[in-house]
Amino acid sequence: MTNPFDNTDGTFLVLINDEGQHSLWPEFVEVPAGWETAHGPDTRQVCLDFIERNWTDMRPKSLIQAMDREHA
Amino acid sequence: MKRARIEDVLPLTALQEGFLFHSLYDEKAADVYHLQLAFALRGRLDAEALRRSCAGLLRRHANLRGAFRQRRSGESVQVVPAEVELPWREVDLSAEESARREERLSAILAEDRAERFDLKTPPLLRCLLIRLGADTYRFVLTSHHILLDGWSVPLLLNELFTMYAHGGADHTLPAVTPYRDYLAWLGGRDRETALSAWRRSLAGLEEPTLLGPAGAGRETVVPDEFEIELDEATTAALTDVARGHGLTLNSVIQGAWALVLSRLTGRDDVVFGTTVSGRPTELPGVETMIGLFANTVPVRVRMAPGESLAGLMSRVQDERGALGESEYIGVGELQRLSGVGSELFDTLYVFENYPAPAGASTLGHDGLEITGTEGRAAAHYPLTVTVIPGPALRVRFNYRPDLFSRQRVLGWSDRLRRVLDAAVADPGRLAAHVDVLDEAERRRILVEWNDTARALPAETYPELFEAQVRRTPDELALDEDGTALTYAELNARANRLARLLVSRGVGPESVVALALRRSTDLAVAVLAVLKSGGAYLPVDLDHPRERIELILDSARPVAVLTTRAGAAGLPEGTGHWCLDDTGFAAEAAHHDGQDLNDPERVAPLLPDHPAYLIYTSGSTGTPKGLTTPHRGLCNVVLGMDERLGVRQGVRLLALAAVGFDMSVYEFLGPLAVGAAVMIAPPDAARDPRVLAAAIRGTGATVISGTPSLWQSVLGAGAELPRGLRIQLAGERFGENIPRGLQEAGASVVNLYGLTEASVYSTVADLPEPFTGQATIGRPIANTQLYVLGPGLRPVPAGVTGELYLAGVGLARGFTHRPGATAARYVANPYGPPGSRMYRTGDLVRWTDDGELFFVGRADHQVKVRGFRIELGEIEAALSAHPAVARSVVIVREDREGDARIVGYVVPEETGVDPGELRAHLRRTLPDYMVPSAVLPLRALPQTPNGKLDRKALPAPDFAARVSSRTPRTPQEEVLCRLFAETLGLERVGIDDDFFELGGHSLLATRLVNRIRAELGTGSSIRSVFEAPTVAALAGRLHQEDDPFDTLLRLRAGKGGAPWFIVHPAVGLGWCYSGFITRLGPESPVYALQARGLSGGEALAPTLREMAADYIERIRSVHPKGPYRLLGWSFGGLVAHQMATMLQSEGAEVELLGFLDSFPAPEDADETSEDLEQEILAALLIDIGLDPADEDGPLEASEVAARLREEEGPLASLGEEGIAALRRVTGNNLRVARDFVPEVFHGDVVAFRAGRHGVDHPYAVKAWAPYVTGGIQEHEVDCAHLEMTTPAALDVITGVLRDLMPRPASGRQGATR
Repeated sequence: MTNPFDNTDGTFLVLINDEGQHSLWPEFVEVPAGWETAHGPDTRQVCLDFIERNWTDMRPKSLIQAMDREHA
Repeated sequence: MKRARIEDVLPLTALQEGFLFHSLYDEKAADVYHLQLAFALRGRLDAEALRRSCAGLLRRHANLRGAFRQRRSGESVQVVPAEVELPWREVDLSAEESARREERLSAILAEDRAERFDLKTPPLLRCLLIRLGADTYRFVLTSHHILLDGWSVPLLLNELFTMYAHGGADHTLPAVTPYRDYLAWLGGRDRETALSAWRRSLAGLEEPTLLGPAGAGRETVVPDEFEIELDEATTAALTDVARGHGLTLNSVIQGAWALVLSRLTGRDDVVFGTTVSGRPTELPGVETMIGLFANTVPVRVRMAPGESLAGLMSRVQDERGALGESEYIGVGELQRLSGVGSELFDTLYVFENYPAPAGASTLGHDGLEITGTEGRAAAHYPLTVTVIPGPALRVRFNYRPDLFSRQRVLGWSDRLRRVLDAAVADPGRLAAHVDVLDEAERRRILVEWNDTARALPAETYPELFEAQVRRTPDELALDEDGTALTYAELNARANRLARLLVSRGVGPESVVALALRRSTDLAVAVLAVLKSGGAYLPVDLDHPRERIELILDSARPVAVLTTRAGAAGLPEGTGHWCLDDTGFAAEAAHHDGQDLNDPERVAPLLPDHPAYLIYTSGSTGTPKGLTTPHRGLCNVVLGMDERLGVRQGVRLLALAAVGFDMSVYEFLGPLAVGAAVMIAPPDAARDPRVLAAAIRGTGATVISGTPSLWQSVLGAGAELPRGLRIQLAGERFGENIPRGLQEAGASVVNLYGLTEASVYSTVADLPEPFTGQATIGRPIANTQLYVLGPGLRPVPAGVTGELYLAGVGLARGFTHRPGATAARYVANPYGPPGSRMYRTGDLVRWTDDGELFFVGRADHQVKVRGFRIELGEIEAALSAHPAVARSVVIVREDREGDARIVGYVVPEETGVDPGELRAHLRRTLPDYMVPSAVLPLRALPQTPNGKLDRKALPAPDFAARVSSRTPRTPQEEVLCRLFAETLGLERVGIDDDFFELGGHSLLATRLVNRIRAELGTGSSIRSVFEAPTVAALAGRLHQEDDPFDTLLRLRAGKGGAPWFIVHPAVGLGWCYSGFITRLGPESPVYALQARGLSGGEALAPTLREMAADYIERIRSVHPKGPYRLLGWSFGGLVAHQMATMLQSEGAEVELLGFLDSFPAPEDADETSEDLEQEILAALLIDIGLDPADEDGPLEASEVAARLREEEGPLASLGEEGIAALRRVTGNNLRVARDFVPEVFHGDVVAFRAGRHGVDHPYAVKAWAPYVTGGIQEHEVDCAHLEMTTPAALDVITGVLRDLMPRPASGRQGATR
């Protein structure tokens, strides 16, 4: 039994929530509420590469916004 | 005994082989494959006509007369006698009063069910007619499943009652298609093609699908049962769904059952057995044939992600269809072919599609009617699911009550019903989306057990702490070696340092590393960093410099706060500030001691800003950082304070190494609620005496530590004050650590948590006194636990799944590693929209009341001999033993292709016996999980950074563990050799445990096969598990045979001509066991023993009658001859008499031999004392002792004790048995005196004891008048009593072997 997230042959999505947090997601499972597909379906590695490229600031978006407001 | 002519000898079908195996596996237990059909009859019954009709069944169907035997070659056959008598019994209960009648009736039926058929004795069908009243009867037809399948039953009854209607005549019935036609068809199949189809079907299967414990399927236990019924509307809807998708109802339900099994086991690749009708359509008349055609085959179903229910079901149908031509292959062969071990599945699925039963319920014109029918049949599988189609479909669940509770099986039936409901509602629904949990169960597991919401009074740590300072400014906050700080003092120092840090640019989202030892300075620094808005990163100065460098490179701190001494341990060029630098200290002192507010910080401090970074070891070898926000920190601090009872007045001992997150709670937990942090001296975590002194010295009452630390405290006998609250965390532990702590007056708590989710997530208060294995308890505040299967669906309680954590405690992620973070912190389908959950990689299961039981790591899964094994589970079982302090289990492959599980234990002070440990494991684990060896170690080897060094664990040396006691009897000699060969060892002692020397279930099976081949009798697979040493097994083999049976089989041989050796005057034949290793391995060896050795049997009145009796016995195993007969002393006379009688019956006597035997009467003057001495001496010789070594006359009691001690076949003889021997011997001498031999036609061989002394100097010649041929005389250099000692037998068997014709090699080879 491999965990569906570890299945290197699986088909995955990249999900993203309102906080800009990313999640790898096996395609065959329903996308949970509050998440949207940012990439995929695609291979696991391509999805991970996508995440590395796009999730460059790991602070939650609400925090980034709060900090930006402070600086503005 | 009349023996009927043999009409036919037929091969067995695969399933018949299986039934035969189960019947032989345990010949004492109830045979579950009985088929009992009971009919309630009312009316005028013609019992004779019914009896004739039943006999007609046997006459018509040759296969119903079959007996099942194993040829000496090991091959099984069904032997069909031309005729058999119908076992018919009548019981009249009509005179009984009604309550008593019912009672007797059910007792008779139960007895009938319990009475086993001997598969060797035909027919395997019997009738019982019970008269209950003037015109009411119960007619019971009992048979063995090996003759009949379910399909045949209605056909059989139809024939039976048709014949009855015609007075027992069968002229109205069509001619029978003989079963041998079917066997011929079977013989003509292309097995290779069929096997490749199965190979394709089972390819890549990783493990068996078992609901019960492994190995349980070998046992046969009479099952319990219940039925569920689908209503007619659902049944119709299900039929419509099937029809609509071009599916059979069977495929639909099979698909549903596969899904249920997948959810019950948490696996996406499952196998179960199914019964196929096995009736080939191309065989004319097959549908009306009576016999066993059915077969059990595996159904393998993989859950494909993204497949609909209908898709799953139609794939099941297609895959099954592709195997339709290959369904006659036996399940045993398919198990082997699958490569997953000896057991592929333990559930059987049956779809009952039998032909309609005979319509007429009125039999004949006399108006006899069948008013009720009851059938009982079963299977040995732990669970059998039988689908009975009809307007309202029924499903029967037969289950083994010793394995599963009714409640549990009812739960499974509910899940099947839910999947069927889902298929009716929407067959297009994804299988992965079908929930097998019912609403209430789902709610309980997902919601109620996770109902932990609590409001946090503050969401940044400085707020929390400063509020506490305001509440208790003068309370003790911190103590280091007697130097105490109040809350106000600590706060002021932290504030000054925080301002300094802010002045140097530290603020939210920046990191300050703290390279400080556990100290007041460290506590001040932690608080200061938090107050400044930055995150602190503890650095353990004891770690290797390289590791520190890696961490600093990854975390990118603004600076490292340390001391001058500490700075020396940092990598070159690391920017650092030294607290003990006078300039730095003066600068800090200069700052204000009041609390900071947001405007003073670089930026406002928000709950999502990181509070600390902790690095854990990564699987790749590079440490991985976790960034944890303030909100999570506040949550764990308050949540744990609540669960651990930490509050104002409590003193907590800070003991953990500073690099671990346990130290985060130790410093910050108490300070949030007015408790005190008592800093333990540096050695406290290593030296139990220092720790105990620290506990006493500080007055601390709450302490957390690893189980091994506590174990060493208990082991050192250190005195602990009563009333401690102790947390065990970080390792598994056995029963005795918490119990020892409880006995010292402590309350004990088990904790579970991960750095990825703010230190701790669950807490369990261990019950007192603690027994068994600890759970990890329930979630702390604002924490949710999900146990999910491969489809990310929650698994039911009791099913192992992977643990996912959700809630406030989740870290932001892996520091600067978005990919790794997104792969582990994933979208949460069960929490608020947009929330995440962390997948832990830990395997857990829910207990029924919502506590979590830790099973092991998902990535510590290994596979040995096809079984998936959680090493963690074995470790847990080892640790549960009171003598074990710590344990680790690994898989070694020291010999290529021979993977073995090896356990290593660090024992408690008391020491440990590895044999006892393995016995303990065998009690709790399936046999394939029991390590081949358990090695005690003084300590587990460690890598430089304190982790277990698996590579340094020593290989077990099995050869060095072989014990010294050598075999005492020829049987033991054979067993020792077989043990050694099977285990791949040079030699094995008689006390060595097969499993201790690396044996495992697969090898045990191999061993048993060898034992059966070489020694034949009695050895079951079970006996090796229950008696794993040569000594015990030898004793056991004797027990399984009656040691006093008249015909004692010493060795089964492999199809050669048997030897029959007649006992001497002392009526025992065990003295001949030395022959078995000395006569060629092909030949069976039997000893004849006198009647009257046990249980009040009558003694033979004359030697002639004795010989006739023995001839009947030897003919029962070897009906036709030629015969080889030997006898020692008195036995020679009997052998001679048998030989002459056999010749007069026309049988061939190939060899007649005498071992120091004379036709003259024995010395009539022998006193009874002499006789007794002779018997006792003979007994000692039987167990390999020399009577000459004994001082003075032998005593019966002493010899009986010696026999008991030796645990051999005669252990149970006792003084009473010796008395019986004396009677037998006296009788033998008496019949010998009255005996006059007849004349034997042929040559004889006579061995004479050369040291016989003066007695019978010409004795051999005395045979001359009674032998027509020559007497070949051999002298053996021994005394009369020594004729069966090894040295004598070496000479004797050498001669005998030369006399025997060499077997023709071609013919011999063919019987293998």
